[in-house]
Amino acid sequence: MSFEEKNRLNEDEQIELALRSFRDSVHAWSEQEFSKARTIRRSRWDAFWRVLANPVLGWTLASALVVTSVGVPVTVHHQRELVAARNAQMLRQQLLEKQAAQQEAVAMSDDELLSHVDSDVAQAAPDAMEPLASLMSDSSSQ
Amino acid sequence: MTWLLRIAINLQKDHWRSRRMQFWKLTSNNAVDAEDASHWLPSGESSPEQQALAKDQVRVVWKVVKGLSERQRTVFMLRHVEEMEIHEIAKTIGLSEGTVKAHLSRAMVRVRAELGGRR
Repeated sequence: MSFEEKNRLNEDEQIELALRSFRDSVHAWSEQEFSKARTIRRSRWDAFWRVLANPVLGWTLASALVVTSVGVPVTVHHQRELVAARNAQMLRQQLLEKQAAQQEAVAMSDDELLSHVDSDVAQAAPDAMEPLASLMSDSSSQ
Repeated sequence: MTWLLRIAINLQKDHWRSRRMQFWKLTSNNAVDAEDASHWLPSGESSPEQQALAKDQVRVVWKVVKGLSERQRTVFMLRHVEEMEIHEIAKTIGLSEGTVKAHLSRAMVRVRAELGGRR
């Protein structure tokens, strides 16, 4: 084996050794770092998501959401229907009252007209009968 | 029997890799100090002289690694720290085997030059 070859082999050996040391160093370092006690900072959101991860709470919240999303619109719709029915009844009532008042007014005017006609008929006498009427009134006064 | 042993070794390798993955994540945002990094050597049974030599070599390799391009560094670390095969590296970082070999070769030239020049 020539000197150059020997030298090259020696160099390769040295590099191999250096790389092995490097690898061992990184492994030792990472092991040491990994086994160190670490403080984990948790944000408020972490706590929130952890609480939500509880299946019982999750189901409860989901049920509440479903009940609310269905129940609220149904209740609102029911309330609106009740108010509309009440308003319609009030309008009907008002209409009936108005009709009754109108009928009453019409009835009163008919009576007045009849009495007016009666009085006209009772007092008025044709011109030809006027002397007789005056006679009747004279004799009744005597 | 041999294949059982192979499976056991691979499982153990995977386990350590995943542990080291945590370490890489932890140190990815911090620059590695070559001086600090060279302190981490398993004590072994080597003499203080050998320890000092190894420490020096580790420091030199770290210095070279820091000077490599990102891709060269990745390939170098996967090959020489994670002990991955060329085809595994190629698959992991999405490069062809030829490109991985080229990156590794360039990185090794620099390591060789640096370590050779120091002797």
